[in-house]
Amino acid sequence: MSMRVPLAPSRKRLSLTVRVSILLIAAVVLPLMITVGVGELILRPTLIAQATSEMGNDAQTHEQAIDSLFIARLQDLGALGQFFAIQRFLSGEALYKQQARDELALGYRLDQNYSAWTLFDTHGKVLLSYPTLQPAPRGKYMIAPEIMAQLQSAHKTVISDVYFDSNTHMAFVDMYTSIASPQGALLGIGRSTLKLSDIWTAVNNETNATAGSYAMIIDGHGVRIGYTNTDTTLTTQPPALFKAITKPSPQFQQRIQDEDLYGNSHAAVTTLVDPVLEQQNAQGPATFQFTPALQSEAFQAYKVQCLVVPWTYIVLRPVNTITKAANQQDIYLLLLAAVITLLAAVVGLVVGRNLTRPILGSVASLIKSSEMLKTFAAREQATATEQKWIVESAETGLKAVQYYAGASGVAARRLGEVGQRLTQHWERLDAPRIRQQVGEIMSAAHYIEQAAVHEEKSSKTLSTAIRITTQVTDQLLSGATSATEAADQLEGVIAQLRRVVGE
Amino acid sequence: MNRVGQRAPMRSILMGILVLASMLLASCDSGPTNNAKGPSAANGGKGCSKIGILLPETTSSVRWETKDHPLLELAVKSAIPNAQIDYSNAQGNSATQLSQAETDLANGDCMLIVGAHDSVAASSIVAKAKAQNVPVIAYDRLIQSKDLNYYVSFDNVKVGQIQGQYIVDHYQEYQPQQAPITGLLATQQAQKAAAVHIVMISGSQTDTNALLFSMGVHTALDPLFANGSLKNVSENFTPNWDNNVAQAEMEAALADQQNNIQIAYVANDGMADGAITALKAANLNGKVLVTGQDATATGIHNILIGAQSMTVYKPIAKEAQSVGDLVKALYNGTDVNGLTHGVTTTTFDGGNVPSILAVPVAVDRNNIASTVIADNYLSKSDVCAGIPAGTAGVC
Repeated sequence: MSMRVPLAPSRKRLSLTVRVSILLIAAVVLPLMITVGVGELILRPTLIAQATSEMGNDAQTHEQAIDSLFIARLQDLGALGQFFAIQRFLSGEALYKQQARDELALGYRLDQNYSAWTLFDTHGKVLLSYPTLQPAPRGKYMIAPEIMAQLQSAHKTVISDVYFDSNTHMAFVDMYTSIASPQGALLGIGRSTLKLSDIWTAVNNETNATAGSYAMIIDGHGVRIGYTNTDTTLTTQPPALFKAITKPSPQFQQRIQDEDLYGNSHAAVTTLVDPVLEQQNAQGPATFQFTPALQSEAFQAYKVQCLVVPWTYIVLRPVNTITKAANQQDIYLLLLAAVITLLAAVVGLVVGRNLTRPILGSVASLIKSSEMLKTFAAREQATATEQKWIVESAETGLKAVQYYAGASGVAARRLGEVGQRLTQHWERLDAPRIRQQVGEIMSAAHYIEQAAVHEEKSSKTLSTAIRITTQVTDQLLSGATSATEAADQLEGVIAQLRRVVGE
Repeated sequence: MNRVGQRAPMRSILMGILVLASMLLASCDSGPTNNAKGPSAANGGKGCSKIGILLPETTSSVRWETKDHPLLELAVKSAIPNAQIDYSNAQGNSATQLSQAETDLANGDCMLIVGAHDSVAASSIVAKAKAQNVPVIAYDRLIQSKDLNYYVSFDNVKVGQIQGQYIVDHYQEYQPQQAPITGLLATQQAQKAAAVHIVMISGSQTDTNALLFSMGVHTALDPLFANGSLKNVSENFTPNWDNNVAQAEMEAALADQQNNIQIAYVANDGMADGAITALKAANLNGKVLVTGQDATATGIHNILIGAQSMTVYKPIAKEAQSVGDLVKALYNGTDVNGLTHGVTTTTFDGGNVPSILAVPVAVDRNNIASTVIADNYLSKSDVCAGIPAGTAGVC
């Protein structure tokens, strides 16, 4: 009993060539995709960390430069305050006035950003100044009261809030020191006025770091006293300069007016609210992200508090520039992946085609073999049917022959018996009986004749069976030949497939 | 077939790879800060035998390499025989010096002796050292940080005072050129022109000592300026103590004053040599009182040939020995008050740094033999090249 093996449900599958191509693409592109994924997971945060670190170094470098600058300038002031002629002049020896002025000039030359050196008496009255004879007041005062209050003991130093010179368009601070005699007696007050040119230049140069980067300095009152100026001609001020990040207290607003801080008389100090910056500046971590006032995108910020002055130096860089390298790398990787995908597809198609050509040839051979085998099977089926018929015919013929042989035997015996009876009882037979016996002989002869006829028919049937058997034999030979050919073709297919897949 | 048995080697391989990767990552993560070693890394110098010596430059004065460097190493090794010394010279660059200090700290140096290139910039060195509890001894130049542990130098105001006092004592020997004018006008002109012209070439404005020297010299000279005996015709600080810049400053002053200059206050011997070059070009060699400092071979030679009038001998061996004494005290963990005697130096930020301040000595041709030669600070062969025998009792 034959069993038909159930076939898997057929589904439409891609050709082997395409599948090989896809596999090659996957083999090539998957690592790239993994790289991109890893890049997203590791590289991007690393880049942000690196950029933040760079910003931190940048901010700290600037903060240290500011501190160093003020330390050095305070050192100048402290040393000059101990110069002999200055001390004598402040002690009231007018003989030393010129020499004291020369020493102020010496101090003035210590830094090109000095705009004035001035000596005051202990009450804040100007005694001597260089290069101008009479320095301009700071608003209502020559020395602001809260500064004077701090200078009433020896060896005190104070750095003022920021002023703005509308003539030079430059911010400046006053540095004060109380000058005492070697015995500790308070003699007067020394003041050096330092332009913030270098500091503003450093802030302006922050644009060199990366595209869109900038910096600002916020003083202890929350006023932006330094802000990167994108106007390279420096003919205009940055819009956020001297604007407070939060509304100043009424007391400080009064001080701004009284002392003309931040060039208030030139351009009134206003507020450009930045609550995030205010909060982060007050108590936030060193680095944070926010969208600053006047900006429309997120910035990474790094702040460093100066040590000598209550200023905060903040470096800001657009977040997208920080991740630019990662983005670029992603783009490059994707482009690379696209190119490699294309190449892999082409190579895959070529390789797949070369790979599948023998297979396809084998398939064609298999199809041919299959068709041959189908034909052979059909022939075999027909042959089997014929053989069955032949067998049945032969059986029938054989039975008929056997039957008629038996019948002929019976008829012959009856003829024999009739003949014996006629021989034995010939004398006693009368004509009816003879006619009866002859009738029986004729009946038997007829019977034999019929049997002969049937035998002839059976013989014809058998003859036909023999003929058909011969034909079947021929067909079987032909089928065997076809099967051999099919087997040869299958062997060829196997050989081809072995060449494809290897031994 | 036992598939578990098949997977076991694969698991072992994967585990091995993971372990290897972890080790690699761990090795990648280990930064230089982990390299700090030595028993005194967090011990304020006690038991510390790995010491960093950082000197500022080589251009302004040969003293740093020819004197300070060997003397400091000798003093430290005398104090701690098994001391390991990391020596660096910043070659006039503050950033380089900071980097050298960072390297020293990373290498486990547990005591730093710093001759700062920049008094302010070097505060970063102090901050970094403090973070590792490494004491810093500022050598010769103050570092402006209240966290500075010790300061060993000379009394630098005194140096300036000595230079100034020498001028005070000798300026009258260098009278200005007199114009051929007669009559009352001539008398008035003579009185007006009697002021001796002085050029003042100070050191670098980034060096605290330069201001202290200037302060000292002004202390001595200001009365003469005030009474008109001296006229300060030019006064400049010289970036990086550069000898060529000093020469240019002298040349500019000579040109400005039409060579009518009698005194050149020059802060150190190296710059004095530059000024002398300018004076030679103006045929004023030996006719102008030139000061100096450091008692270098060049300076002493210039004194012996009459081109330079004086120098300030700061017995560097004594200064270095003070460092050695301090290092030994720190190594042993003993009280340093016996060395500082309560002397402190103030920094801008209110620091009072325990200090050992040695007193310098004025040297002119009269006492070369009894000072720098007698101390073996310099040898005759160092200073007598081309000088007739018997000169100043030295050569």
